Formats: sequence, structure tokens, C-alpha cells
Amino acid sequence: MTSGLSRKMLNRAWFGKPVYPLLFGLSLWVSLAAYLTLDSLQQSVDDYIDSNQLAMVGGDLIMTTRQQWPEDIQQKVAELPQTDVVYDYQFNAMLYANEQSLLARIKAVTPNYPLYGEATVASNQNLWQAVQPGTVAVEAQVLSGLDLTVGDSVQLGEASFVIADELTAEPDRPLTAFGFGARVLMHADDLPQTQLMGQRSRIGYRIEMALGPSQLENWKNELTILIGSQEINIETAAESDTALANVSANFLVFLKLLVVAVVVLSGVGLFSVMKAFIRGQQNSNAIRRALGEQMRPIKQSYYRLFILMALLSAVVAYGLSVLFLMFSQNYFSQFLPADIDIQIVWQSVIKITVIAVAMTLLVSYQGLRLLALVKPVAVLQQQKIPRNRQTRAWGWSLTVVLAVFLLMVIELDNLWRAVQITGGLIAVLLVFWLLSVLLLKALKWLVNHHWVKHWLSRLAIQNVFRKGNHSVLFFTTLSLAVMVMVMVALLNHSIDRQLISTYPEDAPNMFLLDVQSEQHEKLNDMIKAPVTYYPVVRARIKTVNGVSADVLKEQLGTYDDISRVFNLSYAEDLLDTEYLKSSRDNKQLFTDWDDDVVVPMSILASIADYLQVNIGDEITFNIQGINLTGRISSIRARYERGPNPFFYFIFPPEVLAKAPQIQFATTRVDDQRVVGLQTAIAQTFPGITTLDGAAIARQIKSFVGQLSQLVTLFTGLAVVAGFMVLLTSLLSTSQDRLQDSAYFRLLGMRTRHLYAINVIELSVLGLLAGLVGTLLAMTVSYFMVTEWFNLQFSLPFYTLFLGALMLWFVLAGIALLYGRMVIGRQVMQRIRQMV
Amino acid sequence: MTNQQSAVLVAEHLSKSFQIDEIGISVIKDVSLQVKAGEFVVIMGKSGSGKSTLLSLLAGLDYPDSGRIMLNQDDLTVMDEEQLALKRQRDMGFVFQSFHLIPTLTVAENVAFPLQIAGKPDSERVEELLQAVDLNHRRDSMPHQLSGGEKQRTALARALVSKPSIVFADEPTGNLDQKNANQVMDLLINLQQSFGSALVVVTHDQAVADRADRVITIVDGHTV
Repeated sequence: MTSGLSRKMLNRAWFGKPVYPLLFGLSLWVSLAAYLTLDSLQQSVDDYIDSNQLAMVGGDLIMTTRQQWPEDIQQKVAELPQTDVVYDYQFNAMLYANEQSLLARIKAVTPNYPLYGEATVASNQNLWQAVQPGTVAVEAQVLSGLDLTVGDSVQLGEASFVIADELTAEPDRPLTAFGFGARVLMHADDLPQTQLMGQRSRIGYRIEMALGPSQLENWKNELTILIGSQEINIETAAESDTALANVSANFLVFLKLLVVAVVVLSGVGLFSVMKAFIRGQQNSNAIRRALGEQMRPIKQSYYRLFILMALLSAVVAYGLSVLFLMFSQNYFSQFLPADIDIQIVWQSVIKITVIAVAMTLLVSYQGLRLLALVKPVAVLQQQKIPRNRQTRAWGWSLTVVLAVFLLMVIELDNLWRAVQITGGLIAVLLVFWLLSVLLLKALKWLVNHHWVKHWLSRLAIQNVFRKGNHSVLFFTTLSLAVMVMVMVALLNHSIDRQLISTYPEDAPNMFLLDVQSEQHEKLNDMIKAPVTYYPVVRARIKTVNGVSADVLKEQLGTYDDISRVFNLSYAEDLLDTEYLKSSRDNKQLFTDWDDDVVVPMSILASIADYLQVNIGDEITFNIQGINLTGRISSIRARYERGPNPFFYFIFPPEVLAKAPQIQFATTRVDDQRVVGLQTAIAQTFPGITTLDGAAIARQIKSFVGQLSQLVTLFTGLAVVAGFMVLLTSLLSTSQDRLQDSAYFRLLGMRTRHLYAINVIELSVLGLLAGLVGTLLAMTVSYFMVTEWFNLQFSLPFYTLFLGALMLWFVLAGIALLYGRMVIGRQVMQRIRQMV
Repeated sequence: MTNQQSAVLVAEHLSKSFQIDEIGISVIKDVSLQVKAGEFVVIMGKSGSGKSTLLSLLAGLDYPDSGRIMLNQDDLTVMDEEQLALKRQRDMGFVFQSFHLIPTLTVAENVAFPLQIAGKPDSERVEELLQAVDLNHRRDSMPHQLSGGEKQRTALARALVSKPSIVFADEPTGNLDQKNANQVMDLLINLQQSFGSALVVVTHDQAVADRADRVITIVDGHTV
């Protein structure tokens, strides 16, 4: 039993110096609050998905395709009560009104829509009372974009529709970040009048069905048999993936993994604070032992204090998390539904409390091993209490790894992935650790061999290697965090500079979909700039060198999906943006194979790598039931990635010219002309959809910007955790530093020199770590930008300079503050004791 | 046998050496002694003679290399650290040259501490000791607010609060001026006599030694 006085004594010692509870708290608050916020977010998203899955996917059973529904499927579906079926057609098209045009995402549905959830309109009427045949409901962006109000008419294809109401919510479209174009909702029966159906290339056909649990499997089986080998996808609501589920499973989990790393770092911070505190209490501990207090109650008194702190920290983290969620909703607006109820979830609060207590117990266990060094005889000054004796603790280290692994298993819900990620994390940490050790050893060598001439700098740098300083850990943490943050910044910069902020000068900025051959001449006249037309033939890969795509799917990497629909094209020459990487016949795109069965084909290098094929290999495609086998006669590569069209597979014109095809076109016009041209084209050719490249880039920028902002925010927490490690290691070495300062002072060192030692030490350590992180980030980003994105690599010098300056300011600030708080106030007292 | 029965503490053939830079230095060499109940014994010797080391061995704060120490008929040398702690808690009191009060406890709490860790809180006993050392008026003061004499008086009260059979004092007047030193020694001896505890004091102060029942002088690790 811990006596009341033992508790009182420790509490007074702990809370008597605010630096202990403050650093202990800060170490935990940041990581726990971040974890709680993300866990609650994820829990809220998962709850939202659980409660809205049916509404989000539209039905219990869903079929999707890119072609008209076959007769037998329609007949089968007609066996269901009409009220339990919705036919849904979606595609992009241009709206036209008031001499203006706007890209819209059309959704034409049968009147039983929605089977689940509710679609709402601004007038609060029932959707289909408001939207009668011949009318449409539109999103607010349509009204503002075309200067319209409810009651006005809008042209869609060949038909005109009255805007009956403003569409305010759709149950199956909670997110808007993943689609282009404002929504127009209309009756499926009105579609034929638009005359857009026949010529559209990108119509998504859906049938949503409401079925009882007992019917579901039967219906799925029967429809699957009917579908046979047709290009129709069928899945139940439970099997359907939604964009929101992907956000939860990928992005939020990624952010949480970052935060798990921060949690681990905060454990290091806790360890340092505890160590500093226990060391500070060694004299009291020795007295307690001398007076006969047994080790168990002494340890219990510490455990009790630290667990109390962990619980208090969980409460503070709760408060911080509530505040963060209150003010940060905008950070998540792009990829979370507007109606999602984000709040702190009690399960998450329990989780962080358990994490806080478990981590505190783990860290305390190791920290309290210092108590074993306390011998009661120390009170007779017979034995100096050892300060920095290292205790090897393999069992404890293994327990920490197991605890992290357990957390990963809980987070990822997948044992194998948890093994991979924990292993990866440990490997990355080890690499950085080794790198840090090597660099610091090199620095030590330089100092020891008098490469550093100035006496003050030498003294300061030698401090880096002080026992118990955690220099390697701080170096590892800071360099790793800086690397991630700089990488995000560099990738953002290169992509932004070349694709978004400065739209490439030679790249097309208008894309025209669903163009027909007879429209070329008129379009050329209207655009008055070179227009490139690309024929597109849609096909699936059947075999590669005779091996079925189904078999290969399991063996190939994740670069692409072999079972998807590919766009084939035909041309006589290379595109301007491409070059021949290799060719069967020198510099020839196609060369005849003297074979009646196969035709020559050119393939893009990236997909050739994925499919593991080379010149002479054969790929058989299925084009609407007809097989076409191409033998590779050349391999192409792109100069740079960007908004230029490209095709994985190109055939000679005579091979595909007669295949069922669609066309799209690209052109480059003055930016000022884009909107006018879009309107003119929409007016003349209602079937053509025009996309403004720069506008799309802006939309992507806003989405990507929010993602990178969040990644930076949570990686920034790792930097904060790194600084906590630094602060706590300063605290744990305070007594030694104070002693040194007292010696220096006795020898006549001036105050500014004492401060300078700290500033130089932290600056060298921090800036070196920052430099290493930046160089590594530059190397990795260079390869990603040039090899992966095929873009030119460029450096944001100003941002990097600003980052380095900020880092230095923080380091120097900590050094000065530390000097003032710890050394400045106590050094004279220490000197008096010494004298 | 008779001697052992009346003795609180019996030490036989104690030896202790320390390793300093791989050189073994013998500090206590074959020392035997005994302290009877209620007896006041002073251990004297020059600096480095080994008197504090001897005290640490007698008080079970350290283990001898060889020899035996019986306290109330229990052999301290075969006890582990936890058993020794328990033994100190029940049978010993300590007064140190540097006072060693717990800096975060008040005077009264410091005095009460040994009773608390023994699980026998006794506020009346604490009051009694505070009265005895004349510190009732400073009961809520923190150690850093006390003078040297007050600190040592607090330490005296703490050493005797649990009615130990023996009190060990290491240079109890070493950090005090003459006036306070005399006061503290008077108090220590009075309390020891009134509570019947044995008292073992390590000192180099002849004035203290003059007041002892018996003086053991230690020279070069030997008793003479």
C-alpha cells in the first residue's frame, strides 16, 4: 500500500516544478488528441457508412454497365414490383442557357428513386411532386453558373427543360470531390428527347433493386447466370465500395498510421520526463529506502502518479480534440459528406485512455528500473547515485514492439498488413537510426580531430554526445518528419507548377468528348486552332501470349487492372508527346508480321512493363465480342506526363477504322476564349461535352491541396513530438548541464557564452537533421517527379529557406529559453554549493 | 551468550572493502562490537578511518564482505534488501549529518513518515515528538524554511517516532554551529534515554564522545 505521505511527497515534487507535468502532458496531449480526432472521424465515417450504405449504393442489389441493358436482363428485372426498381443513367453533358454553358453531371432516373434515403429539394416538397416530366432539379451551382432561377428553362441536348427546384441532397452522392460537373436530376423518360443517349460514350447504366434478405442471394445468382460473359457488374450493397469507404480505409488509416508514429515518439518523450523526474528524486528515494520503505510501495507511488497524469492527459486530449473538430470541419469538407455527424466517439475516448495508460505503464516500468540503482547507503554519501547507467532491456523492447504491432492490428484489422507495416516501420526507423548514428559519429570525429576550430563551437558540439541526451533519437525523428513534410511540399510544388498554377503552354486546354466525324469541319471553323481528333475503341484484354487475363490478374502487379476496359486507338504516326523507345524495325511504329491472324501493334512502355511483354509478344483483345490479336512491333514512351492524351495500345488505321468507336478531340486556345467556345459548341453541337482543362486542374488542386494540408498537419505533429523528445532530453540532462555550466562559470565564462553553447548545440543537431531529411526528400521526390509523374523537377527555394529559418528559430528559441529557465537561474546556486 | 541476549546489536568479524579503479581498498577489517539496549555508543575516528562505512554496515544500509550483524537476534547479513528495509522500518531510527528531510513534506509530515510507511499512523505520537523537539509551531513549515538546528530536530523526532530499539546518527552535529550542536545533542541524548533506545553516533567531536556510555575508536578500519 502506498502511504498517503508517499503520494503527497511525490505529487508535491511533481507538480511543484511545472516543467514535469507540462512536458509529460504536452508529450501525450498532442498524440492522444490527434489519435482521438482521427479515430472519432473514422468511427463517424464508418457509422455513417453502416447507417447509409444502402442509401449510398442505391439498393440491395446493383447492376452497372456501359451499354444498353440486354432484353433478357430487363425482362428478369421486370418480375420485381415496379416500386422496387430504379433505372439510373448518368453522364456528363453541357447545359446551355442565357448564352452561357456549363458542364453538368446528368442523372436520369425512374420515379422510384431513391429506393433508400431521401433526395431533397429546396422547396421541401416530395422530390417527384416537385420534378414533373419535362422538368429538372438542379444543384445550386447550375443556377449560379448560368444565372438562372427556379422556373427558368435550360437546354440539354436537343431538349429544353424547366428548372422545377433546386436539388439540395442526394443520398447516393454524399461526396462531390470525386466527380466533375454540377448535378441535374431528371426523369429517365425524358432522356430520349435530348437525343444524347445514342451518341454518348460515357453513360453509366445502373439498375438498383430493393430486395429482402431472403431474395437477395437467389436474385443475384439468377441474374449472374443471365449476365454470363456480358460486361455487366453485379454486386450486393454489402459488396459495393463507396468513395467514402475508400476515404476511410485508405486516407484516414494513412493519417492514423502517421499519428501512431507520433504516439510512439510521445512515449520517448514520456520516458525522458520520467527519467529526469526520478533522477531528481533519487535523494528522496534513498531517504525513503534508508527509513525502511520497501521498493514496492515506492514504485506504486510513482505508478499512481504517472497513471493519474495519463488519465488527466486523456481528459485534456479530449478537450483539444473537441476544439479541433469544432474549428477544423473545413479541413475535411472535400472528402466527407456534408451531413455526416462528426463528434468524439466514446469508444475512441476509451481507446486513447487505454493507449495512454498502457504506454505510461510500459514507459514507467522501464523508467522505474532506475530506482534499482538507489541504494539506501547513498544517504551516508558512501556511494554516488549513478546518473546515466544504461540498462539493457530486450524483453521490454520486445514488449514495446508487440504493443505497436497490436495497435496496428487493431487499426488495420488485418494481421498480415499489420506485420508488413510494423516491419516496414521498424525497418525505416532502423535505417534512419543507423544513418543518424553514422552522421553523429562523423560529427564527433570532426570535433575530436580539431576540424571545428572555435573553442565554443567545440564545447557545444561535444554536448551533442552527452549521455542521456537522446541526440540520435531527436535526429532520427526530426530528419524523418522533415523528409515526409519536404517530400509533400516538393511533390506539390512540381505538380502545381507544371500542371495546375501554370497550365503547360503547349498542352491542350480544351477536351471535346463524343465528337462525330461529320462534325470535324464545323468544329475546326469554330475553334480556329489546331484540333487533334482521337478515335477510341473500347476493348478488354482476353489473353497475353495465350495466357488468360483471369490467370494473369493474380500474377501482375498493382500498376493497373488487366480486367478493366482499355481504350485502343489507331494512328499512322507517333503523337508529338511520345517517342519510340524500341521498335522491331528501326523507327517504324508498325511493321507487318507476315501473318494473317495477327496485326502489328504499338504499346506504351509503362503498360508493357506491367504486362511483362516485349516486341514480338501477342495480346488478344475482345472488342464487343470480336477477338483481335495484336503483336507488338514497337514500344513507345512519353516525354512527360501532363494533360495530353495517350493510349496504351495503338493499331494501324486499317485495323480499327471500322470498329465501333467514339472520338474525342483536344485543342489549345486562348484562356479567354474557353468559356465562349464551350457555349458556342454546346449551342451548335449539344451532344458534345467540352471540358476546360485549367478549370479541372483548379478543382483537383483544391482537393489535392486539402489532402496534402492534412498530411502536412499530421506529419507536423511528428515534428512537434520530435521537439518534445528534444525538450525532455534537455530536461533529463539538466543536472549534468547545470554542473558543467557551474564549472564554466567558475572558470570565468560569460553568460552569453553559456547561452551560445546551447544555441550552437541545438542548431547544429537540428539543422543537420533537417538537412539530411531535406536531401533525402529531394532525392526521393526527384525520382518520383521525373520517373513516376514524368514531370520536370523543380525546387521551391523560398519555401525551403523559410522552413529552414523557422526550424532554426524554434531551435534557438528552445536553447535560449532553456538556458534562461534552467541554467540562468540555478547556476549561481550550484556554484555556491560547490564552493 | 548472556551478553548477546542483553545486546541489541552484535557485530562479529566484519570486513568491507571497495574497488576503486580496479584497486581493492579494505575499509573495515575484522571489526566486532556490540551495543546493549539503551546504551549510548560513540564511534570515533579520523576522516577516512571507516567509521561511516561501519555505521552503514551496522544499520543494514550496506552488506559486509564477511562477518555477521545481529540486530534483535536477526542476522542482517542474510537478509535481502526488502527484508532489510522492513527491519529498518521496525527497529531503527536515523539521524544524518545532512538531515535528509524529504523536501516536499512538512515538518509534521516528515516526522509522521516512518509511521505511515509502517502502516501505523499515530498522530498523537507525532504530536508528542514535535512537542519534545519543540517544533510544534513549525509543524507546517517545509524543510527549506527551517534553520539547520530545526532541521536536525525534525530529523531527531523522525528517528524516534517509531520507537526504534536503536538509533544511528552520522555526525549529527556536523552541519550545525556550536550552540545548535549542543542543543541537538542534549535533545538526542534526552530523548534516547526517555525512550530507551540504544544510540550509536559516529562523530569526530570529542564533546559528543565525552557524553557517551562507551567510545569505540576506529583506526584504519580496526577498532582499538
